[in-house]
Amino acid sequence: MWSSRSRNATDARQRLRVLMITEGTYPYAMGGVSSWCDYLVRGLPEVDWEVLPIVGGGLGRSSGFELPANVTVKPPVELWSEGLPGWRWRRHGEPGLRLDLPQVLLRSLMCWDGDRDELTEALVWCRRRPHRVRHVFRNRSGWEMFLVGLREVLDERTPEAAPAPELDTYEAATLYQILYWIARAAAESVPTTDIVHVTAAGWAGIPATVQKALYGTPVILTEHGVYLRESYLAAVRSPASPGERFISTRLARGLARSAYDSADVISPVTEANASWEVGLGVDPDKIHVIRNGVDKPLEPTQAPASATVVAVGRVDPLKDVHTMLRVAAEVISRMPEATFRYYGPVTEGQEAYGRSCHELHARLGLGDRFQFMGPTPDPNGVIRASDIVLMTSISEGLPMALLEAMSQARPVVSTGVGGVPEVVRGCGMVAAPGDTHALALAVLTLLRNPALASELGRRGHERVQRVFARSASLTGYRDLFERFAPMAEAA
Amino acid sequence: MSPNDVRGRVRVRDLVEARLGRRPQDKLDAAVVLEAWGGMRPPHALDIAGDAVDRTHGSPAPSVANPREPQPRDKTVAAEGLSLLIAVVAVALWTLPFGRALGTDVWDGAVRMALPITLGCQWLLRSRYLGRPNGLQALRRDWDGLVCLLAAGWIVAFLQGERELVALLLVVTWVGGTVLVRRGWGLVYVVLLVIVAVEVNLGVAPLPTLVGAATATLLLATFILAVAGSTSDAAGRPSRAIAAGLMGAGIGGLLVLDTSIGWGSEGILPALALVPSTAGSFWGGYHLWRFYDEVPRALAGVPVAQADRVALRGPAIGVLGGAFGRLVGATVVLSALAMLAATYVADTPTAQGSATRTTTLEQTARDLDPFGVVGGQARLVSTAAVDAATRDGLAGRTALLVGFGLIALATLLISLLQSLGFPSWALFTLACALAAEVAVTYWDAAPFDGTALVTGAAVAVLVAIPPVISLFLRPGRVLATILWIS
Repeated sequence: MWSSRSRNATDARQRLRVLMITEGTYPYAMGGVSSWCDYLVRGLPEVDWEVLPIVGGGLGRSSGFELPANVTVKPPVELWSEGLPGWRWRRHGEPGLRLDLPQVLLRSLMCWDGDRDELTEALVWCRRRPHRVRHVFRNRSGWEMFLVGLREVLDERTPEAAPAPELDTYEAATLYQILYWIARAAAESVPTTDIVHVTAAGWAGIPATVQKALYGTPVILTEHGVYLRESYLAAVRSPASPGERFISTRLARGLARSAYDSADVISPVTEANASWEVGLGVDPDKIHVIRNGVDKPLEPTQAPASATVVAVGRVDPLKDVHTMLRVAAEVISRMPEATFRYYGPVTEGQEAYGRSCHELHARLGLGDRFQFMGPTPDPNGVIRASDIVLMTSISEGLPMALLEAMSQARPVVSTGVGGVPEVVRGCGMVAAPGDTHALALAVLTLLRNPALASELGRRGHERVQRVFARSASLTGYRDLFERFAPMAEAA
Repeated sequence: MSPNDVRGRVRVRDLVEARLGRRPQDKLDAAVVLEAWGGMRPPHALDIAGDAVDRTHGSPAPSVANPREPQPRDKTVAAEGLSLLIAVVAVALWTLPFGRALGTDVWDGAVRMALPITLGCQWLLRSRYLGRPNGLQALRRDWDGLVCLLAAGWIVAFLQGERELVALLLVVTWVGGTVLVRRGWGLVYVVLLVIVAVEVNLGVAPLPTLVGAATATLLLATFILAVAGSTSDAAGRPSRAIAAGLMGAGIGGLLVLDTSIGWGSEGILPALALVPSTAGSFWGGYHLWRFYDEVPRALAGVPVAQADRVALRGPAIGVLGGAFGRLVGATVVLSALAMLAATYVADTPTAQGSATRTTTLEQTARDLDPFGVVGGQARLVSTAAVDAATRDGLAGRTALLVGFGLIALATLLISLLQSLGFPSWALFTLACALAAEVAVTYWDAAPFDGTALVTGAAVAVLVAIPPVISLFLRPGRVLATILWIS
C-alpha cells in the first residue's frame, strides 16, 4: 500500500495524485488507448487522476467519455494552435533569450546519439521561461544557429544509418516549426502530482521529462503500440519526400529516447513491445509488462451462423483495411453468402486513406457484401452478431478488439503482429501481415467449419478469463503505483 | 564473412528495398519492414536490419519537399467584396437626404463616430469569430452578451442625443451586415441598403427608415446565428481580437479625423471617393493572401542558403509587389475615372450652378425617374462635382482620392503585420499616423482640404512599409521564423 494514502480514502489530501498524459486520445477520441485509459481511471478509484491531453490545436474539444468523479481533465496542450504560453516579468539578472535553443533541441533530438541531458536541460529552460520560447524562435539568430546545427546533423555519419538527405528550405522550416512546438509543449504549465503516467513515448513524454527533472516526480510509461515503430511504419507508407521522412522518424526517435530515459518504469502491454523497447536500448530491468484486460465475460452465446465477419477498429493505415478488402473479395468469390462489416471511424487526419478504402471497395465490386458501418457504441453487441472477428493490422500492441472477441467466444483471424500471437494462442488463426491469401483461407476454413470455429471461440472465452482478466491488469498498475509512491513522497 | 552471410545480407536488403521501393534510411526503417511484412519477430528483425542499410557514405541526395496543395479560397470572398462595393455606393446615396433631414452637423458627427466603431467591431469580430471556419457558430455562443451590450449602448446613445443615436443605428446596420455577408447573404444586405437609399431619396423620413434597416439587419443576423448550429471550436484569442479591434478603429479614425472633409456637409463625395480605394484594397488583399501558399511552395527544392539571401525577386517580395500593384493600379484607374466623370459633370451648365440648381436637377431627375435609380446616379455625380467645384476643386478631390488610396495601402500593410504576429508594430504605425493627422488638422496653414488625411495615411504607409520589406527580402527566414511561428 502507498503509506497512509489509501488508508483514509476520504481525506483528499492523502489520496495519490497521478498525472496521466495522453496524446490525441483520452478523453476526446474513442478507440483502444482511450478505452484503456478509461478502464484504468475507473478501475483505480482510490487514485485522483489529472488528465493532461496533448492535442492538435485549433479545434475545441468535448469529452467523448463520461468522466468519473476521481478524474479531472486539465486544459489541453494544444499544438499548432494560436494560443500563447504564459507570460511573466523577467527577474533581475535573469538571462534573456537563449538563442541556441532551436539548435540544442535539434542536435539532441535528431543526432543518432543525441545528448539526452542537453535535451532535458533545454526543455526545462522552456518551462522556466515559457514567454521567451516564441521570441527565440522568431529571432533571426535563433534561425541562423539552427541552420548551423542542421549542418552538423546532416553531416553526421553512423553505421546504423545511411547519409541523411539534404533538406530543402521548406523541410528545414518545417523542422524548425516542429522544434518550436516541442519547446512549447515543454513550456506548458503542468500540475505537480505524485506520479506521472505517460501513455505514449512521444509528445506525451515531453512534459513528463520536465516534471522528472524539476521535481523528481516518478514517471511510468505505458506503451500500447511502440510509438517509434509506428512512426516508422507511417513513414514507410507515406508519399513524403526523403527529407520529410527523415524529419518525422528522427524526431520520433529523439522523443522516444527521451521518454524512455525519463521513465522509471516502462510498462508495455505485451511482450512483443518489450522486445522492441529492449532493441531500442531500454534497460530490460526497467520493463514491466502489464497486459490489457477485459471484464469477466458473460456466458458465451451461439454464433448466428450467418457467415458474418466483423472487424472493429479505426479506418487507419495501421489497420491495413486495404488488405481486409482484398481478403473479403477473395472470400466472397468462393463463398458469395459471406458478409463483412467494418465498425469504426476514420482516424482524424487519415481521411484520404478512408477515401482510398472506399475506392478500393468500389474497384473490387464488393457492394453491400462489405459494409463500412462507422463507429459503434456497442462493440460487444456487434461481435456477438458475428461468426468471426477479423483483424489485418500491420501494427498492434495488445488489441482490445481481439480480447472483446474472445470474451464473446468468437474465433479470431488476425495478422500476427505485436502482441496478437500472445493473445490468440490456441483460439484463432494467425497469418503474416499483408498475406491476403492466407487470411482469406483462414476465414473460409472457419466459415465452412462451424464446429472448429465454435471450439476456437470457446477456448478464447476460457483464455481471456484466465490470462487477460481486467482485475489482474488493474492490480499490476496498482502495484506499480505502490512501488513508486514512496519515491513520490521523497520527491 | 561466409558466402552464406553475404547471400543472407543481400536477401535482406532486397526484401526491404522491394517493400520500401527505395533504400532504407536507417536500420529501424528496415526493421519495421522485416517485422510488419517479413513476418519476423522484433528481436530478429532488429538484429539483421543493419544488413539492409547502405553504409557507403556517399554525398547525400537532395530532397524536395511535397508542399501541400493550396487551400481553396472561400467562394464567398468575391461576393463579399462586391457586396462591400455596392454597400459603399448605397450608403453614399444616403448622405444628402440624411443631411437635409437631420442637419449636416448631426449626420457628419454620426458618421465620424460610426466609422471607427464599425471598423473596430468588424476587425474584432473577424479576428475572434468570422475569420474562422466555424466562426458563425462560435459567435452564436457570445451573441446574447453582445446584444445586451448593444441594448446598453442604445440607452446611452438615446440619452446622449440624436447624433449618437444615428451613429449607433449605423454601427448596428454595418456590423450586422458583416454577419450577413459572412453567411453568404451579401445580396440580401445590399438589397436592404439600396432600399434605404431609394426610400430616403424618394422622401421617406430617413430616421425611421434607418431604424428599420438597423432592426432588420439585427434580426437577420440573429436569425442566421440561431440556425447556424453549434460548435465546440474555440473562438480566437481575446487579446488578439482586441488588438485587431483597435487596429480597425484606428483605420476608421484615419478616415474621419480630418475635419476639413465634411462627411455630411459635402454631399456624397467623401463616401463615394471610398469606392476606388475599396475596390483596389479588396483586389490587392485578395492577392496577398496567396502569400501563405506561394512562399512555402516556392521554397520547396531551394537550398536553405540560397533562400536566406536577400532576394528582391524572391517569392515573398513577388507576392507583396503583386498585391501593391493591384491595389495601386485599381485605385488609380478608378480614381481617375471618378475624377473624369466629376470634371465632365462639373463642366456642364447644370452642375456649375448653385445648390438650388442642384435641387432642381434632382427634382427633374425624380420626375423622369420615379424609382430614383437614374436620378440617384445623376445626383451622385452632380453633387460630387458641385461639392468639389464649390470648395477646393481639383486639389480637394485629388487629396481625398489620394488619401483614401493611401489608407487602403496602409490597411493592407497593417493587416499583414497583424497576421504575421506583429500587432505592436501595427498599432505603433496607427498611433504615428493618427498623431500626424491630428497635428495637421489643427495646422491652420494646410494648403488644401484633406491635407491631414493624406499626411496621416502617408505616415502610416511610411512607418509600416520598412519592416514588411525587410522581412520579405529573405523568404527562407520569413517562412521559418514568421509565417510558421506566428
